[in-house]
Parts: sequence; structure tokens; C-alpha cells
Amino acid sequence: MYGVGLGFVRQSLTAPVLRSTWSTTRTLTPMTTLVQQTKRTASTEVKVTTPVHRNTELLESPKNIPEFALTSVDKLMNWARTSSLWPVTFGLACCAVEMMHMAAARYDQDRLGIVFRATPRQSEVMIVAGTLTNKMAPALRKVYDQMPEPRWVISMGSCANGGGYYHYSYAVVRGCDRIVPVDIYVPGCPPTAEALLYGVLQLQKKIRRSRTARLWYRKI
Amino acid sequence: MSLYRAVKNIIKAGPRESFRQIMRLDEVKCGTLVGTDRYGNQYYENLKEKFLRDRWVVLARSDYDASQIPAEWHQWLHKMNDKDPNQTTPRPYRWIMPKHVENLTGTSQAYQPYNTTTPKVSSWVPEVKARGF
Repeated sequence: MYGVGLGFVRQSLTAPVLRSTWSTTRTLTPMTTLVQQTKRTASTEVKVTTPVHRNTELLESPKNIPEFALTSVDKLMNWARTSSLWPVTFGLACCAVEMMHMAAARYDQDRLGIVFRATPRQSEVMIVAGTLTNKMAPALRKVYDQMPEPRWVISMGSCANGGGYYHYSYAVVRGCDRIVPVDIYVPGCPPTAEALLYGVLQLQKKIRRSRTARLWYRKI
Repeated sequence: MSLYRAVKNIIKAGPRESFRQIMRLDEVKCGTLVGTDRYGNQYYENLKEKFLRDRWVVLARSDYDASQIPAEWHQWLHKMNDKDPNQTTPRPYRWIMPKHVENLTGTSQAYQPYNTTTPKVSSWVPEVKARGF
């Protein structure tokens, strides 16, 4: 579920690198944690360890005074970024209708500060909604390249996730993550507007985990 | 919600609870506490509210997420079920998780998919044969 993202870079520094795609690195959590989480025993019970109380498990504790200070800077930056996500409209197929539903009155993305922006130069999220054909792929990449950093991509629907229904078609890209690095995959065919909104909230969580200033300090 | 009811609810709830509810719900609501699940989420009901807004949850944690609501309380919230889940015994099926686990995406306990089949394609390892005369 990970793609490129600022919050992800830190993980690659400490965790073992499994393989790299694009500019991203994927990490493998040890299997022991998975086993601890849900251990299915012979009886009907599923033993579950204590739930995570805060989702800050990935965050390191700051080591020195500048990192302490930059934590607040990071928080401020993340707050500013999460509260005004402007997605570029990249509606390709029927998923785009659900994407429009997210913008419409019932789910009302404006209350989260999400405003569709019809230009990639002034937007930071790209919602790839629908089947990505081979013919459209260069245009998608071009639009992605025109977006300013930091930028994120939400892959919406099974066609964009992995080709979906058209996986064996000669005209369709088998997942938009072959063209652009994807942060959030929203499953469904098409996903409901509610599911897409949940994906956006997950992206906000991911942005909140980013450590831009602290990584900058680590570099200098 | 009218201004009158908003003011009335803020006075009823008090400043601290009002602030908490504004941060969680974007409005201040007033109702009867139906129950609390094991994670501390509080479930309220006020049938005088607008239909489908008359049952709501005040989530316990500040990093709230929709997946923190257990399935049985989800049923109650969405009016699939009127019974209080704390009073009813859960159905004894193996496929029902006895304890609810929230969406752990982004944490160290996130689910990682893995492949259980042997790969059908083997990668090509180039071998340079020694040239000789």
C-alpha cells in the first residue's frame, strides 16, 4: 500500500529494503508482527493482541534538540498540506462519476479543503479515476510531471489499480502504478464516493506522517 | 441545525465537551448515551434530530478513523439493527472476528501481501561465455 511519499522515505532508512520500483522503496515488515496480530488457533477463537493505541508507531522519537524543534515545523507543514489538498481531475472512465459524487453535495469534499483544480500546476493530488489505456499513459505521465512537489497520487478503482476488467487487453496499462508512483489504492469497481473519501482521508494521514523538515536537517 | 439548538446544545454540553465535539463532529450535538464500546467510543442517540443524523458516535481517539467502529456498532449506527450490541451476545461463527481491529495501514502492523505460489517466470541471468580460439 505504500508508494512514494515523504513519510515513506524515513522508513527506508531503517527498515530492510525489499525491492525498489520507480523512485520508491518498498519495505517488508517481519512476519512475526503479522503473526502476533492475528494468530488463528485450532479452536474457533482468533487471538488478537492489544490494538494500536496511536497510529504513530512509525514515528521515531526525536534524538536531539533540532529534531525536537523541527517536529513542530513538520506538524505545521503537514497541517497546511492536509487541510488544502487540491486534486487534479483525471477522470478517465466511470470512476470519474463517483469522483464527481465526492465533490457533490452529499459527501461534500469542500468541507475537507479539497477543491478540484483543473490544472496540474496548482494541484498536489492526482486522482487517477478509471481505465488507463496505453494511449492515455503518456498524457498521464505528462500531467504528473507538471505537478509541483510535493505531489501524491490516488489510484481509484480496480482498472487503475491493476488493470481490473481490462487486465488482459492489449490496449490497457495494467495498473497506473506502472506509469506514476501511487500513494493510495482505492479498491472497487467503481469505488463508492464514500470509499474514495476514505482514501483521501488515508492520504491525509499519510501526509501527516511526513517528516520534511527533519529529513532536511538530517541531510545537512 | 438551527442556531437556537446549537446554542442550547453548547450550553448543555459545557465549553470543554463542546470544543471536543466541534473537533470531532464539526457540530455540538446532544443526546442520550446508548453505549460505549471497548475502545471507548461513545454512541449517542437523539430521535429529535434529522433522520439519519439521529445516531452518532464520538470517537475516543484524536486520530480518529471510520474503521475504529466495531462491526456491531456500525450496524447500530446505520440502523441495520436497533439492539444494543453490549446487551446482545455475538453470533458464534468462526468467520466473525471476536475483536475488532482497525485499519492498520501506515503503521508497522500494516498488512503486507505476499505470494504463495511459485513464480511462473524465471529471470534471465546473462552468462558470458569465454571466448576462445
